[in-house]
Amino acid sequence: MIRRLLPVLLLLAACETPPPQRMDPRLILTPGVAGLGISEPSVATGPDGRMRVTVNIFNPGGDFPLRSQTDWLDSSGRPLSTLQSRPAFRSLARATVTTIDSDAPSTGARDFRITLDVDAR
Amino acid sequence: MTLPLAKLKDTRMPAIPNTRRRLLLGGAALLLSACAQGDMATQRIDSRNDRSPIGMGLDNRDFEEAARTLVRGMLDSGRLQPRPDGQPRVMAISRVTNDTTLRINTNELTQLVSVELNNSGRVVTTTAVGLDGPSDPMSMAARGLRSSGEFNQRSVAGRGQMLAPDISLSGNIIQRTNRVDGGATRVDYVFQLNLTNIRTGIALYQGQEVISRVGSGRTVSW
Repeated sequence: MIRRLLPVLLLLAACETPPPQRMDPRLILTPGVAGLGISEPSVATGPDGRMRVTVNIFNPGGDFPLRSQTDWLDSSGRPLSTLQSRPAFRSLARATVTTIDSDAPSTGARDFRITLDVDAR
Repeated sequence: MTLPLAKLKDTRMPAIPNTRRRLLLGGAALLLSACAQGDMATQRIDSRNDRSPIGMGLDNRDFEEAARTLVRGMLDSGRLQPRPDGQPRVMAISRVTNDTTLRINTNELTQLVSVELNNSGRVVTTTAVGLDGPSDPMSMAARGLRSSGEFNQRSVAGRGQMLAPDISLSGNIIQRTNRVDGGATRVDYVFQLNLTNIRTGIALYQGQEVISRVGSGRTVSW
């Protein structure tokens, strides 16, 4: 019995869809942006020592209203009070790649959290 | 004394026929619902999650957006280097002109820029110098205590302790309004800021951020 079922089981296992790729946990995506192609965040340090983060977003559909927000966190994980953490509106043109980038407000920023959402205003 | 039920009913609504009564009640209900729609309940707004509708004028989000972009340009320009002694630059707030039809207190913009630059650690702001007098006159007023015997003179600010500004922040907010196809109105608000090296008079940074709206001509921007 098991011998008969083994090929079928192997076939089913091969057909199983691979698990979804885990995105960087610092990138928070709401269901509204599921149709966009979003890269992993690229983190660099500028010449003045401030962190800089970049995310590329491919919009395969029509114009898309995007709301992005980057929280900058200090060494203890507390959000820094800065204008750079205010939500920003971007209109993603259809079939284009848009770069969302944000600079840390000071060298005291150690980590970040980017939230991408549809701007439903 | 009690009345029979049928008589009581007649006393309440004696002359209005059923159809007319229904029409009247329906009209009253519509009127009430219309009134209720006009009354929006007051809600608190979290500025970090402000999804409230926008108008053709400027609101807090626009000032923050403009300030954020302009400050980023200032910091990225690489021109805001520390003083030769390693201390941050000292900035004075000069004139920011409101050339719009809106009543704007330009401090709303300059304060955002000033705070963000201060937080960067590269600039500090003097409140002791201003075009129309210092924004905080207390620095000079407290020096009047030098002659008072009531104050410990070691706690009174001495001569030559204030720092003169190195750089000056100035700019404009400009509005341009146009009618566009379909009867809509387009309004562009241009935020321009300059940082000038006071010693040389040369602009260290010049930036501009445009915030635009297009909407119904009914929502006027003044």
